Amino acid sequence: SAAVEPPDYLDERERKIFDTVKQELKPTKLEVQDISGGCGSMYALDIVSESFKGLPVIKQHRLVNKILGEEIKNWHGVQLKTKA
Amino acid sequence: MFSRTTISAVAGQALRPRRNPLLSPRFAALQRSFLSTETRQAIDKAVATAPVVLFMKGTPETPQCGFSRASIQILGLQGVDPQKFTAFNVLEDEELRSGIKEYSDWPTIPQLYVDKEFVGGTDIMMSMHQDGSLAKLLEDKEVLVAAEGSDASATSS
Repeated sequence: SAAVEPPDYLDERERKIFDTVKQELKPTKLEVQDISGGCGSMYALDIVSESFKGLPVIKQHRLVNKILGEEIKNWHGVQLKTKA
Repeated sequence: MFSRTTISAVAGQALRPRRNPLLSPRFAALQRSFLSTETRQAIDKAVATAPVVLFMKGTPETPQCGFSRASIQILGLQGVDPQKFTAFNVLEDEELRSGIKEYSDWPTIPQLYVDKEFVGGTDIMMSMHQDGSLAKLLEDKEVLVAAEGSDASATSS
């Protein structure tokens, strides 16, 4: 499966999140977007990864929460879309 | 949709623990990750007040956040029986707001509990709503308004 490359238009924080998720979950699809108007307080993540295989959606989300744990604590919110 | 927010007297009282020296500002850092036995027990009670429990921002009538509003809308569309539903407003209670995140090991609000089990937040409710698994869960738990004979609308001319 092809490795995902971070697009050019990610800002610094989006890029950091992208890299973290990429490293931990080796996704085949990954989209990270600041949806707080650039404030860095809310993000939408769309992740397709084999690491999710066999896991119910809630466990998939918990896995992402674990990986981004410290970051998420500083955010106002997060939107997750995950798929195996 | 829902005629009232039910906050049972028991849970309401339990959610405001007596003044505890560990809650003083000096222990603020400790407090953030410290789920006291009192708070845990209070949340245990809250989670058990009804078959369907939603920890949200604001009330079902007046949600204070788009995600909380979406969750209420979904539960309404699914036809959850108001008699079997309780909502807790975390904006009313800072200890609940941080406590429920520790308790559920989940970073965001709203949080849905069905039959005392954590189901998820808005994203999960949304996808379960779309793929039918939420309807199935709520049917299995028998928390929906009865289908027969309830076509009668509440409005009158």
